[in-house]
Amino acid sequence: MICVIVRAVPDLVEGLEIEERDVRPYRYIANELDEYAVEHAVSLKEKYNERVEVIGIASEDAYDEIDESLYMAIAKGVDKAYKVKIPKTTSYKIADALSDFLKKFDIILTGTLAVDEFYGVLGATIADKLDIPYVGGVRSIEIEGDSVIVKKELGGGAYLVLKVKKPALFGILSLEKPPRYVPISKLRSVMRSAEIEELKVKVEEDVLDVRFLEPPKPEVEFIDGDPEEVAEKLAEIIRGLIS
Amino acid sequence: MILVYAETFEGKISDVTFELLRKARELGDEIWTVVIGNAEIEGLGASDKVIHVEGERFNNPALHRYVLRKLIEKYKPKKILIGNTPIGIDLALGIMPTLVSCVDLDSKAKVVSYGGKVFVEVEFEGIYLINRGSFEPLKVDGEVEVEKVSIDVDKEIELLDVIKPEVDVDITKADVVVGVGRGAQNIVDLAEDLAESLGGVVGASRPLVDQGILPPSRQVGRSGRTISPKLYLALGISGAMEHVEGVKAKNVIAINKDRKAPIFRISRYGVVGDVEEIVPLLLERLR
Repeated sequence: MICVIVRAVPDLVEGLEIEERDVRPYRYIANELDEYAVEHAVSLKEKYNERVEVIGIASEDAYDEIDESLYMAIAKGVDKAYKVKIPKTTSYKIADALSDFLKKFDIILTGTLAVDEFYGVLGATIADKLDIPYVGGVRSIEIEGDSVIVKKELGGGAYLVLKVKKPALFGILSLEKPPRYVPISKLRSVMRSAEIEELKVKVEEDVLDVRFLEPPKPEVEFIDGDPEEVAEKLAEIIRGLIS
Repeated sequence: MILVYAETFEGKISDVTFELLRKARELGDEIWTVVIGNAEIEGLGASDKVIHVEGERFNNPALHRYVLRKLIEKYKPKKILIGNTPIGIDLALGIMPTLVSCVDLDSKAKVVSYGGKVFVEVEFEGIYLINRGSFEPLKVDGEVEVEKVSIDVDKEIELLDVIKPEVDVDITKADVVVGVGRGAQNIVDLAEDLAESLGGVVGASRPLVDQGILPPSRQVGRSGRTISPKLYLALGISGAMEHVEGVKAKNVIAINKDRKAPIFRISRYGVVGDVEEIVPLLLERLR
């Protein structure tokens, strides 16, 4: 049985309000790499007939926004969706709270990293908590008996091919083919019929002593004007730089 | 004591290790560098001691997290410095707090997060996964005490194969690189023409490689290559940390719709605009 962990994260495209003790997003979305993990899980279901469950993790602010991504997972083929509400906390406390629920799965997938994750790596932490093998940076997964064969990215097109004994947890980094397309009509019908179960586990609060800062102002010289002017100035600068 | 993880691949110590040693020296504590697997131990003279965990089995980097865990239990280091690389990121552990995407550490640690849009300062001691290029390398030749340590690991992760990329073009050696990102995916052919007219090559950010638009050999960044051209022309690239870590260009010019895109932080010149509009006009003038 496979479980995928999907986290609600700030939508970086929509922008953020940075306060000294907090970062407030305008909108939340599912972490992209976690959605890749859903794709991998659904492929494993199609290929090996594995049951797939998904668990959504979201703060109070994002608790409703995570639903769309969970319904989307069901529309893609996931058998069951749960969600859990978390306070201001860290991967370590989330791992403590979820390990009991996760121990029945023999393959657990999540994104290698979430966009707002800097204190602890959730997948690695859960794997250590469950005392099962962990490999991150994964691009492909095949099941072979009681093991899993994964391709781990080393960068620049190099890979390690690893055979890992189940149960194991994998951090997903990429897809070998583009994500599945789900027609909006199918998503709507799933939203009407499927249910997301709220998982009643207590995630402890864990507030770090951090200061959030705006990145330093860039020292860039912006070139303004209409496109023709900009192109003219740019061409001149480029000729100067490469001559 | 500070533990520095020497990243090795196929018997050779990776450059990021020497960057970590520079910072470790600055921090002033005793430094032990740990080398896992069969590797030639060289350039580690900045360490007070090298811990070498030998064994054919440990040439598999996927086992290093379990070796490291045992070493932490045995030696109880206060700080562990690891490169934030495809191999290093797997060394985030559950038994010790891990800070990801760290760019400096003194009394407080500094981290770049939220895709480069937020800087974080945090009181921290534990495992630091440090971004490449954060410090100047410190490679010191000469004798250093090596202690051989043997470790048992019970996790069953077997290395079956190492796949090497087919390299069509070596972007690391080009004088001019025209980088294309998500915002430039419709004008890759124009970017090719632009690169050709400047005697350069086309590089890419991760999304374009993931979509199969360009091969992995063209990827610039943490999970790609590091480039050091005279000119990097970044088209429609937001400039997430993952990408800019691989850019060591003398001059960066970026064209992006979003004035707040992090790519402008490493740029000398910037244009806020649509690449699809500007690039054809630029190409006309440079041909």
